[in-house]
Amino acid sequence: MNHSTENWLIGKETRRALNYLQKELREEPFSGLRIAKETLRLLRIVVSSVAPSGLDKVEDAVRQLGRELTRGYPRCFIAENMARRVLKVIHEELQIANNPRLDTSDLGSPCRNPVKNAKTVKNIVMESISEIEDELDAVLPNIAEQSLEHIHSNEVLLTFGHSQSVEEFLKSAAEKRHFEIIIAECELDYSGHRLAKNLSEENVDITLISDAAVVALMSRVHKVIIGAEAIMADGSVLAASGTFMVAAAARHYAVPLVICAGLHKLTPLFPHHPDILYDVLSPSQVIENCKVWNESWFRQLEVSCPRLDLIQSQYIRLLVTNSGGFSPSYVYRILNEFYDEIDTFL
Amino acid sequence: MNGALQNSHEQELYSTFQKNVIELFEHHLATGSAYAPAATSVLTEVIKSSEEETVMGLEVQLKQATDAILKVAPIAAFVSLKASTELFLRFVIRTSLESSDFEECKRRLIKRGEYFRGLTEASRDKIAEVGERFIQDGSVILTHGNSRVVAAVFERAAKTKRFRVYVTEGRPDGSGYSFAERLLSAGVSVTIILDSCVGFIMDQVDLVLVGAEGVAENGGIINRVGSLQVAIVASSYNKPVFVAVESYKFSRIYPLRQHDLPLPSKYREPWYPLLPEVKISKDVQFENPASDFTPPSLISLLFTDLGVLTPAAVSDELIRLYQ
Repeated sequence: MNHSTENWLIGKETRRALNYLQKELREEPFSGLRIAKETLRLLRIVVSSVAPSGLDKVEDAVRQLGRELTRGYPRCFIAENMARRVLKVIHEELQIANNPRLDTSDLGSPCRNPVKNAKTVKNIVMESISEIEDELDAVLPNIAEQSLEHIHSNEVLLTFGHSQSVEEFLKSAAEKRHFEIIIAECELDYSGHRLAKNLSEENVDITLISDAAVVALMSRVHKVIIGAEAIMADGSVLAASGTFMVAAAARHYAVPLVICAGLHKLTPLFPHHPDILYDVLSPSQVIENCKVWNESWFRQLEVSCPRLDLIQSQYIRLLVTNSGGFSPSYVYRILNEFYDEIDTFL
Repeated sequence: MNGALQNSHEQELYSTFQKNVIELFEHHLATGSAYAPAATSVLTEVIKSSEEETVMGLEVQLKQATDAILKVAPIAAFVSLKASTELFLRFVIRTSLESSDFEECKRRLIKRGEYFRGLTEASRDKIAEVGERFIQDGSVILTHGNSRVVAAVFERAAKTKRFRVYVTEGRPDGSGYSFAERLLSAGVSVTIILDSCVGFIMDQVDLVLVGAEGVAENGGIINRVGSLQVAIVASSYNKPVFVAVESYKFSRIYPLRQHDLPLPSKYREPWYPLLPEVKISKDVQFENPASDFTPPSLISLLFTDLGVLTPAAVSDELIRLYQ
């Protein structure tokens, strides 16, 4: 990991922060927002230490960092996304530096200085990082405040497992409306139980069911609301294993599927690489309650525990994000706003 | 356009001009260039050698050249040529509005023409680069039609991966055979099937990859006849349909029905060769369309030199191109 010692990694502070982040990325379950914030903190350190060498070096350093993080945990998109967002800011600054006519930031000033010094540029990039951090702080509240548009009184909703965004979404609606929520427990980690516990104080009727019962109950559900781990470039979504079954059942009964996810999870990659889906967890989670695992014949079995499901865009009715709600076919627009195309593959 | 030409002398000049344009166009095609880059080269040449002294005059000449090219273009290239020449004419108009001096305008147009021509030629490599990521080791791909861009994608992927390709025969001209040869020489394992076997084979296929003669404003594609069928079957088996196409083929057309597409002149003639032992009475009627329109709902993604696009994103890119 530290074999390729670039100059910017030598700083102890940077290396410590990087190691910490890479460790975080390996832990389950991880909080997307925490990863994003940690990545931005690391990017701050890198930008401020490399800034005196010029904007080009800063760009290289951020790109290098993005690559290191991907190497640490190839399927965690959030850390790369933060690197890409900072890269977009840097590209904009580089464009302005090379073509001063584009600079509209100090119109009206009597003498426009076409060459910005390194300190100003560093400040601009740091300011943009702060803006992204503020955006991250506002992710959950922004998602939650849209809940009243989508959840109405006496509706029956269904969710799968536990997601922070979904929890806040439901809590916010529960303040004003009374509804019923069916929680599928998600047999992998029983995260549904955690959501049930967190919602128990609210003004909602909670029903906890096993994953297999989702299809049986779907005909009585008005809406399905689930969280996601990543939003891919074609509008499809990576979510916890088991959610595709929920999506297929919802489609069969024409029940609208709503995904709550912050835009830090939006990635410019397409789900064309099978590695994305072949992310497996320890089989112990499958055979936890199994009484026969010790027997000799059991050793011949292969036990597989995939972590993620891919839900294609045609199953999804609405993506509720911190920038508002939109349909999956609109994802390409948001992508162009957030990221530059050349940063897709770091 | 002939209304402005009064006397026979002007008509003579006009027909010589058209003849030269066509000659130059065919010369470029003979060097292996695709239709649109060849057309752009010809139009740039017209600007270079033009004796006109006003922008309006230049525009008229370019329109005459375009008409000449479209007259000799094969039906398969008609849509893309129309799209790319229209795009170039728009560049001309825009540039003429930006510069006040005619000579400077001409210089900029020539530079733009050469830049545009360079772009269109590099498109294929860029598309091969983005498209080959979607081909995995061990995948089975179905293709229809005879697109050089699709061949480029396969050739690039074949360098690092092993996969199988089903190629449709491509009646009536059987272009599937030459396409299969080309893939074989790139080291791809190829199986030829009848056009009617697409339904039979579809459940074994992982993805469908076709080219396009043109891309409509809503993200649908115009391609060799049979592509619509392949897309419908693929959609009913939930297999993704990918289209590899250069961005200069994006066009502002909006076909509402299959019959809105330009029909070849030999539309109602039988195709040759009919099977050798077939004898048919002259009273039997034939219909022989060359292309069909596949709506955007059946297309998963488009691989273009502007990147990977969903059909919904095509109209945004079109707006940007035509601005």
